[in-house]
Parts: sequence; C-alpha cells; structure tokens
Amino acid sequence: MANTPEAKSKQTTLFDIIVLAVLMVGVTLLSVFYLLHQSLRLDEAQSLWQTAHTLPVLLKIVAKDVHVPLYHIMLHFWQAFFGNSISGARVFSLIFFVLTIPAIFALGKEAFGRKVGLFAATLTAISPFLNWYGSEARMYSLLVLVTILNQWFFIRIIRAGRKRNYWGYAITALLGIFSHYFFFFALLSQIIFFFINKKSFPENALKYFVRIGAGLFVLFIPWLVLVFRSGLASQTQPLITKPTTYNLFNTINLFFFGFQGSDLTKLLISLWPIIFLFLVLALRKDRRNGERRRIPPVTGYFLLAGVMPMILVFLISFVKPSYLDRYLIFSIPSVFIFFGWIVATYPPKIKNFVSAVLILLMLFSLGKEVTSAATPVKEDYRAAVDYLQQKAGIQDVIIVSAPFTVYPIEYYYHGPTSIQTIPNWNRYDTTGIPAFSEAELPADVDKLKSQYRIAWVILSYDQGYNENIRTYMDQHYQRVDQKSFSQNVNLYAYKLKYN
Amino acid sequence: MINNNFLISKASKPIIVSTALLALTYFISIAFFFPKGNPFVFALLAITQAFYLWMTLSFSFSIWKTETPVPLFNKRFARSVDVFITVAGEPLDIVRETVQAAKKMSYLNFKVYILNDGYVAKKDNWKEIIEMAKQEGVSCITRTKPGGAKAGNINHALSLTKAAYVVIFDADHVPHKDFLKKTMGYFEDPKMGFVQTPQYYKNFNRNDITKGAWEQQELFFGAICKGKNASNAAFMCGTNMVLNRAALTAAGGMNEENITEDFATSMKIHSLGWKSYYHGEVLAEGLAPEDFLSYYKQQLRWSRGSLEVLVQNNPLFVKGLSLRQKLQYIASASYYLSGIMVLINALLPLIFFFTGLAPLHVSTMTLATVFIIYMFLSIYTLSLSTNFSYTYTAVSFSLSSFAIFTRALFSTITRGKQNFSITSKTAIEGNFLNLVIPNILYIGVTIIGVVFAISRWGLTDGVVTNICWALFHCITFSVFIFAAMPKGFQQFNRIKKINLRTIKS
Repeated sequence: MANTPEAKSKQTTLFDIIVLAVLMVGVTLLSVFYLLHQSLRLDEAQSLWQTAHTLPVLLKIVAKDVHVPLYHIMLHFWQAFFGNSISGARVFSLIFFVLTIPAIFALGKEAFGRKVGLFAATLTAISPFLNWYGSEARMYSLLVLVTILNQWFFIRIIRAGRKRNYWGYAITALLGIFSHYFFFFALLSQIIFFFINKKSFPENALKYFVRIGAGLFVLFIPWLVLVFRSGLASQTQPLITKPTTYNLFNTINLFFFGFQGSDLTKLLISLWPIIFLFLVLALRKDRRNGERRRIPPVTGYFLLAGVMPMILVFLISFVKPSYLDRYLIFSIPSVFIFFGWIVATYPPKIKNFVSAVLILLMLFSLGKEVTSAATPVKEDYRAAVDYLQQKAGIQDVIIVSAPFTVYPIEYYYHGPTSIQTIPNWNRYDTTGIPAFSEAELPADVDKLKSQYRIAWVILSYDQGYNENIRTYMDQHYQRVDQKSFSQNVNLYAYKLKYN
Repeated sequence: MINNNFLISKASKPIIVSTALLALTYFISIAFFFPKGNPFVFALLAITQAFYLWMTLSFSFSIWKTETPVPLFNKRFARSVDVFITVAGEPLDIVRETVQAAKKMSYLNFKVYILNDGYVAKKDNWKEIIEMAKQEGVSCITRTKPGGAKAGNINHALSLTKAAYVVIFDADHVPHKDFLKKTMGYFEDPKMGFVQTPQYYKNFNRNDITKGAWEQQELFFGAICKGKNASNAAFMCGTNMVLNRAALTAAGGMNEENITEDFATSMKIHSLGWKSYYHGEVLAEGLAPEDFLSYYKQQLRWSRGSLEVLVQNNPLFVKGLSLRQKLQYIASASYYLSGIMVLINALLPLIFFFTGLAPLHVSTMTLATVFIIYMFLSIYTLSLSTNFSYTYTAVSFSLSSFAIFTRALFSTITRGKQNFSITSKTAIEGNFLNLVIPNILYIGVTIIGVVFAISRWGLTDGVVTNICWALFHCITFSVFIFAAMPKGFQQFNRIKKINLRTIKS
C-alpha cells in the first residue's frame, strides 16, 4: 500500500513542508508590515467594544448582535493577556489564518492528494480576501479554520469512519455553530451530500450523525433562548440590500481576487466565460491508459459546499436580505479545493499555465488591495480622526452617521469635541438604534445649532439616510470643509452659527 | 482489452429533466426577457440557441431510457446467414484478418462472402483479393458494373445470394467469435428487420485523429444508440450489423441514392413496420481513420448523407414512421446542422469586435448565471451518459468540424456533386492544413479583431467577455488544427515530450 500512487499522493514531502512554511511566513510578514497597521474598521471597533465587557455582559451584547459568541469569548480572554489594542486583536485573527494554510493542505491532501492540497494552500495564502479577513479583528478567520477542520473530519469519516473522527467532527461542528450562524450552511451541505451519497459512508454513519446533530441542537438551545429574549438582533442588523446575480459572480471574484476598484472588478467579472472553458476542459480521460478518469465522490461535496451556501443565501435574501460576501467566507476552502481538483485533471501544460496565470493574477490583486488607497473596504477612520484632532475645537460638535460608526471614531478620538450621532443613539439603552426620521432631522440639528459653532459630519456605512443628512445640511448650512479619507468615510463641516 | 465504459449511461432522469428545463429556461430568457441589441445579431443568436435547445431536448429524449427490456431472443436460432465483407481496395492483410475472424464465428449455418468492389473502384489489389478469397476458402463476388457505391455492391451481392439473413462487415471490422451467437437470436421475432452493434475502433489510441474520431463515436454508440431502442429507432451504421433479407427486400435493397445508404435504408425499413435493435456490446473491432484527410472525408460523407436525408427525404414526412421514430431520425440527421450554428456562434464575438453590435444588452449577470448552470448540467449529463468517456478532444473535433458540416450543408442545398471515397484504412501522410483553413482564418481574424476592439473601445467588460468567447473557440479549434499538421511536426512534438519525460525520470 505504501508504494501505490494513491498512498504516495497522501504522503507529505519535505518540499510540501518547505512550501507551507514559506507561505505561512509570507502571510505573517504581509500582515506585520501592512495589514496590522491599518485603521480600525467599524466591525473591529465593535469587537473591541463588545469584548471589553465582563463575560455575562459580553454575552448579552453579542446576543443582541447578529453573531454567535465563541470568537468574542476567545478574544475576551486573549485581551486579558495581551491587552485591548487593535493590533493585538488582529494578531489573534492572524494566528487562525496562518493555521488555515496547513489545515487546508491537510484537507486537500486527504480529499485528492498532496498536490491539490498544496495548490489550495497556495491559493489560500495569496487570496486577497482571506488575507484581508485574516488580519481583521473579527471571527472570519476562526470560522474558516474551524470549517476546514470540520470538513477534514467529515472526509475522514467517509474514508475510515472511526469514533475519533466522529468526535473530531462533533467538536469542530460545535465550534463552528458558535463561530458564525452561517456555519449551519456548511453543515447543510454535508447533510445533503450524506443523503445523496449514503453509500460512500460507513454503515453506522447515520446513527452517529443523528446523535451529533441532537447534541449540537441541545447545546445551541441556551444561546437561542438568550437571542430570543434579547429581541432577535432586531435593532443591530446592518442594512443589507437584496442581491442581484451580479453579487454571485462578484463573490467568486472576491474569493480569488479580493477587493478591487469597481472598474477592475467589472473587468474580472466579465471574464466569466472562462468558467465555461474550464468546464469543457475538465472533460478528459486519463491519457495514460485511455480509461475514464475516476471522479472521487468527495468532488461533489466540495462543489456543493462551495456553491450551495452562496445560492441558498442568495435565494433567502429575496425574503430576508442577508447576502454578505464575508459571511460566505467559509465556502472558500471548498471552492479552492474543488478548483484545485479541476486544474489537477488537466494535461500538465494546461495545468501549469492555468495555475501560473491564476497565481500571478492573485498576487497582483493582493498587492493592489493592500497598497491601494482606493481599496473599497478600507475604512480610514484613523485619518478622519487625525484630521478632526487638528481642526475640531471645543465649541464644535462631531456628528456621526450611521450611529454605530461611533465605535471606531471614539477608539481614536481623544479630543475635547463632543460626539453625537444621527439618529441620536444611546448605546446603553436597551431599545437599540432608533430609526431615522427625515421629519425629525431639522429639530435634531437645531438642538445642536444653539450649542455648537461647527458641525463635523462624518458619513460612513450608509444605512439609507446618509445622503438625506448631507443634502439637508447643504441646503441649510454653509459647508466650510469637506474631505474623503477612504471610499466610504467622508467628512463634511458645516457652520452652525456665527460668533 | 475493450473498454466498455461508454456503453453504460449513468444519467438519471432527474438530471436529464433538469438539463432540459434549464435549456428551456435559458432559451426563454434570451428570447423574451432580456433587452435586445441589434436585431440582426440577435436573430443570429436566437437561431443558434433555438438549435441548441432542440439538440438538448432531442438528446434528453434519446438518452431518457438507455436500458430497455431485451427483446425476444432464441439462443438456438440457426437460420442461414450470408456474411458480406465489403471491400474496395483496402489492404490485403486487413481484409484477410476480417475474413479469417468471420470464418471462425461460432454459428452453424453461415457463409462468408467478400464483396470485392476493387475492380469497379479501380483499385490495384482487386485480383489479389480474389486470390486471397480462394486461399481462405470463402466466396468472392466481384462487381464489374459500377454504380451505387457500397449500397450497389451489397445489392449486387443480394441478387446472387439467398440466405434469410445478411451480416455486413466493413473490410476492417474484425468480428468476434460470438458475433452471430449474440445477434441472430433476436430474429426469432419475425418482425425484426435488423440488429446493429457498436462500431468500435481498436486503434483509437493510435494518434490524435483516432482519439478524436473514437471519442465522438462513444457518445453515439453508447447512450444515444441504446436510447433509440426505446423508440424502435436504432438505425444501421454500415457495418457490424445483421439484416433480415425480407426486410431489406421489402425496402428495395440498400438505398443507392444516398451517400449514407444505411441511414436512408433504415428509415425505409422502419417505415414499413419492421423492428430494429441496437445490441450494446462490442462484437467487432474496426479501424478509425488514422489521418486527417480520411477523417475529413468520413465526416463530409456522413454529414452530406444525413443532411440530404433531412433536406430531400425529411423523416417528418415519411409515412409509416411513428412520431418517436421521426424525432429520433431528425435528431440524428440534424446534428450536422451544428456546423453552421458553431460558425454563427463563433462569428458573434468577431461581429462585436469590428462593429460593436451585440445581440443583447444585458447589464446584470442573470444570463451568465443561467448559462453556467445550464452548461454545467449539460456537460455533466454528457459525462454521465457516456460514463465519463466523452472528452474535450471530442468536443473540440465536433465544434471544429463546422467547416466540413457547413460545406456539406451548402452542397446539399445546391445539390452540388461531391466525390466520396471510402475511409482509408492506413494513414496517409501529409500536410492537411489546407483542410483547416477556416479554423486558422478564425484565429487570425480574432487576433486582428481583439486588437481593433481594444484600440477602439478599450478594455471594457463587453470587449473582455467577447475576447473570452473568441478565445474559447480559438483554443477549441487549435486542437483540430494541430491534428491536421504534418505528421513530422506532431512526431517532433511527441519525441520532444518523450525525451523530456526520460530526462525527468
């Protein structure tokens, strides 16, 4: 067995270890020199704020949010040792991301052999999307790592059964459901695959899966109760618009090429017929013996796990908009491994060409995403606040909208100027963020008019009313300054009264 | 060792239905839901998509039921059989191998004939064939009056023989010992008109041409032919078949008017109420065309013959055929219309490059979403139906033959005369790039078009998408062009590959 081609393809070589080490070091260096030093972003500010509380309060806050608490609890304890800085929190995420590289190698190797594993690990390490979230103080890198580990155990169950694999699967599934609600889509892919390919599984697999499912359900109930009691996150849900089919393609595009300017994104998406070429190219026999190429059953699993969540969330979004690319990040390992398998079926020349072109394109995209100021997801609150530190005085007021963007601003701002939000939001009030009312806007601003000289309005994370605020202010007050700090963070200054 | 994978279709009914529904959805989306661009270009797109919809639906219909109940079969069936081996100048050793194998078939009551058409076809070895027949102890019928090509040769032999059943083998199709044992029993049913078996190419791994030729055959002789049984519409394929003389006589013998005499004759036999059966097991092994010229001629002959049936004797209007049979015949014959459709599809990006005219103005990716899912399912169904035997080379050969099929279509419409010779059984060496000029021309015009479009409109998303489409065609055609290159060039490449492998190992 040890000398069969199949066994050889499963043996990790020194070359693999060296490549993985290089990739892990590369990812770490990129983060250390670039990504860790970026301005705090809104979501990260929320993480820091939420995890700065005691554990019971933290749980209550997270229960009101749209997330599950595992990451927050872990970060809470991490901060106990390493402090509450954003860099420290980002390093926490980076650890998960760096571990993702050997993990996806192991998963790819387990499913299709070491070459596919190494290819998927390379794509992971140079993926602009994963690098971005790999250094963000959020739960996404944890989610990806847990998903990969869970899938590894899932594939091991198909291959060998064994109790320890079921245990590993159960534990990672438990971690997964407490990492992100969308992890349930990963489990759903496995359930569907199981029922389609029941024959591929060990005889007693259904019995074990039912037990694991029941266990997960029981363990998740207390959290659900807390969420229901907290109002089903009704006040903290971000504004998510209904997706279009463009989003589906953009998600795949993001997985490979990350956040680029709209022109480049459009260009990349317009390459879609290439997918068709890949599909047709995959039609081939094994040239060595003229026989049909065997398609391992797990191929279907990776296709399902890579695409189905995207399509399901897309469809669900027509009823309840919930399509956010980052929520689907757990699909990336499956997409990369499936893609790696397809490329592995090509003749060597085509395989090398496709791999080289893709890797070069991804490296270029990664470089551009990291270095370009125009990267759409960059939120330079730090620069905005630096500007305010210099310009805003004690007689001025800083107005923030959307209200929850007050977190990153407060993180950086230590000046004397008062900070208000529109709509006016008391974070410690259990009723959540009040709805925006265009009718009440004049009264809200009028209140400020009597007290302050200049209103520094920072508009970001548009929840559907930023433009109303800007238009109202433009029509009623003299604009004295304006500055854009990143694509989504804009500052406008209005003179409220004259001395 | 024969690889029988292609005979096992794994396409399930839900997959087939999904593919058909998606094809329909895609077509309806294009036809009715998207804002149309230039009317002329849109019409071109609509025509091609209507054709592909028909192809998908008819393919789904064909492979719907590939495993049908085995008809009445009597193991002890032993009525007389005349085995015809049609020869028209094929190399002696090839014919001898077939004759010797035919003689060894296990069956009680049969006689082997060589139908020697070498004399009328002005082939040098016709006398040697007669001599060889003597040596092998088989009868040789040599025509002296030409006419009707292979069909004429068979009809002539029919007039001189009298067994109740006739088996036809091409000169290069070597029957297995059990050929008759496994086919004759079906004639226990007196209404059985003919039984066809797969046309297997034992040399399929010889070179790119044989691979391309065989991999295309796999789909046809696998799921499609097996599926035709469900409609009693399996048709004769010229060799490896057994015919009921009564049915053939009722049909007026083999059709001498059409180049694909087997196809036309099958239709006639079916229209008279006879049954047919496709026995899905390789029982004879033949030779694929080994050189590009032979492949080209074979494809031209088949396409011209099928299109002639479609144009001059459309199955839709043939009395006596059931609706299912009509659909099956039209499905098979209309495949060759794909040539003009591929050409139109390939031209659409070029039209865009030079004129900026597009068939649709689609700003969202909805069309792409439907298209990709539809294509994915289609390719998956294709793979399943051939048990993953269908390959990219087969797709490439099929699409790249657009010029051959288009030429056949025009000559059919204009009733132009074309000389057809039988497929060569030995490789003809030479440079056949002149046969792929349309494909080369396409690549050339694409390069100019891309440069022109980028300089005129810049790298817009529309330009990029059309470049991708043109690139798809260029890559697909390049496999075909490579196959047409002089053998020396191909061998040089192969030797280079072997050397590299040796160095690596």
